[in-house]
Amino acid sequence: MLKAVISRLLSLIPLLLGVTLLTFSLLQLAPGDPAEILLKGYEEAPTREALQALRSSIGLNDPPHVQYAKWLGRVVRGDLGVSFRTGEPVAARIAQRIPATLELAGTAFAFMVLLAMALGLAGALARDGTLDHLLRAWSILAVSVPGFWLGLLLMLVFSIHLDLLPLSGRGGPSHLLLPVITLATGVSATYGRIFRAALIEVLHQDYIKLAHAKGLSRFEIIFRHVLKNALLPLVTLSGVSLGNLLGGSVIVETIFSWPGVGKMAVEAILNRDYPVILGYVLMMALIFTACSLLVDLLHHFLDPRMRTSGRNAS
Amino acid sequence: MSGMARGSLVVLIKFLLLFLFFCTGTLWSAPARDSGVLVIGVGRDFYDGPDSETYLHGSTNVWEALVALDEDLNARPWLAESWESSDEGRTWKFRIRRDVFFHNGSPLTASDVVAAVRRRKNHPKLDARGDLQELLSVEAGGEGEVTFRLARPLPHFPAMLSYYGSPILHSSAFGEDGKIRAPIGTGPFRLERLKIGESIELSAFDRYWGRKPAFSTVIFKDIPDAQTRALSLIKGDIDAIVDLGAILPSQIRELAACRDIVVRKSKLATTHYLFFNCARAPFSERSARLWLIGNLDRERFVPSLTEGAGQIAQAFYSPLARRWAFPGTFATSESPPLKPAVDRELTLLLHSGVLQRLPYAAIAQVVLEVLRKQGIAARIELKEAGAFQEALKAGAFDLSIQPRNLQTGDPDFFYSSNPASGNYRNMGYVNPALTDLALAARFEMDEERRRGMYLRLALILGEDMPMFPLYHEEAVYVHRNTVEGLEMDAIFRPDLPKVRPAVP
Repeated sequence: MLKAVISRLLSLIPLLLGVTLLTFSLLQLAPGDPAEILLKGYEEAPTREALQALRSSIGLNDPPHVQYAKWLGRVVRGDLGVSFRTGEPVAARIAQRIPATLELAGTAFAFMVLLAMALGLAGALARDGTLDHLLRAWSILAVSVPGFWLGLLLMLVFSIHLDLLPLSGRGGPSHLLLPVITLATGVSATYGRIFRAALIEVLHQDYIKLAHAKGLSRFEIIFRHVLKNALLPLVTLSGVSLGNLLGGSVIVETIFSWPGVGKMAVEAILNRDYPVILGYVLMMALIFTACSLLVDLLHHFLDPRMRTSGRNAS
Repeated sequence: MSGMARGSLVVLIKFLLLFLFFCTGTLWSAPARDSGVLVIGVGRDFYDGPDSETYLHGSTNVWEALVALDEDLNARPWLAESWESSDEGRTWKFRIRRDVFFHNGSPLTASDVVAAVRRRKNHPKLDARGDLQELLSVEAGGEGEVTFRLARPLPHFPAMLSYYGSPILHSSAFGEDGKIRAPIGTGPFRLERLKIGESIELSAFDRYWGRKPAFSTVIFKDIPDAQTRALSLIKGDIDAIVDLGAILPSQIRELAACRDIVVRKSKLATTHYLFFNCARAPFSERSARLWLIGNLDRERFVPSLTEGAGQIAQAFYSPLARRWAFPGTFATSESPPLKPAVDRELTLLLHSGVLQRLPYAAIAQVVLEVLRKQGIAARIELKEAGAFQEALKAGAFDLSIQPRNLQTGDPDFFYSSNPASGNYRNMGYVNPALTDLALAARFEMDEERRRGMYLRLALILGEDMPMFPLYHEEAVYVHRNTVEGLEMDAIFRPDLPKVRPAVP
């Protein structure tokens, strides 16, 4: 197991190199001069001296491969560089904003998993009944509704008309509720259906019939035997979904004025702030990979077959 | 429904109710706001950082300039109480006010002004507009005097020092590298707390030399989404929305219908134009430009598409600059010549970043409709900032709708950054007679002669029409009726000390 973890960690190096190199290349290919955009060339024509001075101070006069090599050299030393726009260290900016994004995505993840489990369980136990049909209709609706629309609708109902919840911004737990529902609703509906299918499959297994025959209570059967075995597909998908929630939080952060990294990344892209964009991509790649590794580890502990196959292989 | 399913549903409902109960505002509602706090919603972060000219946006009222512009866009004393020129406009002496203090308690001195000006001169990236390009030296003299020596005479030099032309920060506020350590200005408000990307909290500066602010605290909240901003105002989370484009034209009517909300308009020094690519057929031909202009009925589409926030343009730049705007120097109603022969699809280029706040897409549709009616195929091409600039530079367009701001209030700003710019911003229009005259007018010290020159320039433009001024902008801003006295200047900067709680 330890070997596998070390091997996965080592495979991170080419992966992160590839991701950042691809991002850097795409930025180089994007039209427009970052110096001119930073000096708001759209609003007024910057002087040649100003453009030259800015290019020189942020290293844009170097050839692209030198710029990337310098950036990489700094990253190896733990320095993500400074923002082209504000001159602040990128690492500090990300460190300042990432807690907000993790708070939002983490809560949405927990909410999504619980809701998906509840929806899946209810659907599987009431298979083809009225409740199952209602939940299916709900799933289609939840997946179809765009996040920005749902967010605005929730704001209108719960914040403006009922005055129950804060409208936007980051504060106490009450500030989390609307963005979390907006972010998690669609994903939970999809995963609820997947979990329902997994549960139905497990419910028809021989060992469940045996458990019934042994006279175990329905509660015991569901929580001791069915749930545990049906969880695997949900765990696999959850790893991917946490990444999706982090990525999807960009829109939700904008709608709810949530001061996270998504909003920062959008601003950086519009301003061609290369160091901030690269820092963001690097951080997201790390989080995605960490999630994927965590899922593999969970699989290892949840599924005895994996442990056995690992032992047999060795 | 089976018993187990019912049980699961009950668990689900209980879970949701519990979550709702523990998270609702009834339990953890935000504390009531202090009446001395003014909260303003803006659509972007007003924090520019240590590498910028000013650290914080001018709308925060944290820093001030030597000169301000009055409502006619004339230079008027601000931190400088007076000025005079000598050596035929090559030397300018500014006398600094004596009753001004920085936020750190130090009095404003001529040396501080010199340090602030040199910071920009020594770091050209902080002088993107090139206000200080003609500056040879700046020295502090006795009696709070600052002397600027220029390479060539600049009659409008005081106007060039307005607003972002001469932001004054204390000499300890920045280092040798020009980076700002702290925004120590002289404005009516000072920085109290900064939450980057979230809010900027300011407190009233009690040693401010001008009008004392009525609000002890002002908070600028960054609310990037337009709908959320409007809802925040309706809910009362914020007291006002006062940023350029922060209110969409489509929101004006809705907000005006709200009882507690006051919708106001402020004339801006911004004009919106239909630009022609004068380097590419068909609009390289004057007759083609006049043909399209003659077919565009601004009276019909400007008032409706701008929701009344646009005044049909009669001059090439803002009429707020009364001395320099020459209404009627171009005709729009002369009978248009025959339509040009076009054998390809024309491109109308738009910057996607302004579409949410300006009605460019709708105006572009009007232009396209005019062309289509005459059998000319045309399409709209949307590009984000970088691609938009590249397309302009490459001349890869036929038409474009763009704004231009008369930031210094002086026509030199318009000519030197547009038709006489010598770069892509002239949209392919090259007229040596206009370029020479614009250069001569820039350095002409006799005001009447200068005025005559700018009239001649306006007539040349009116003859050639390389651009068609569509409308002068009137920016919309809104506030709740719990505050009053909120006014914006021509550059759309709020005069915060004037804002006060409304008397019930």
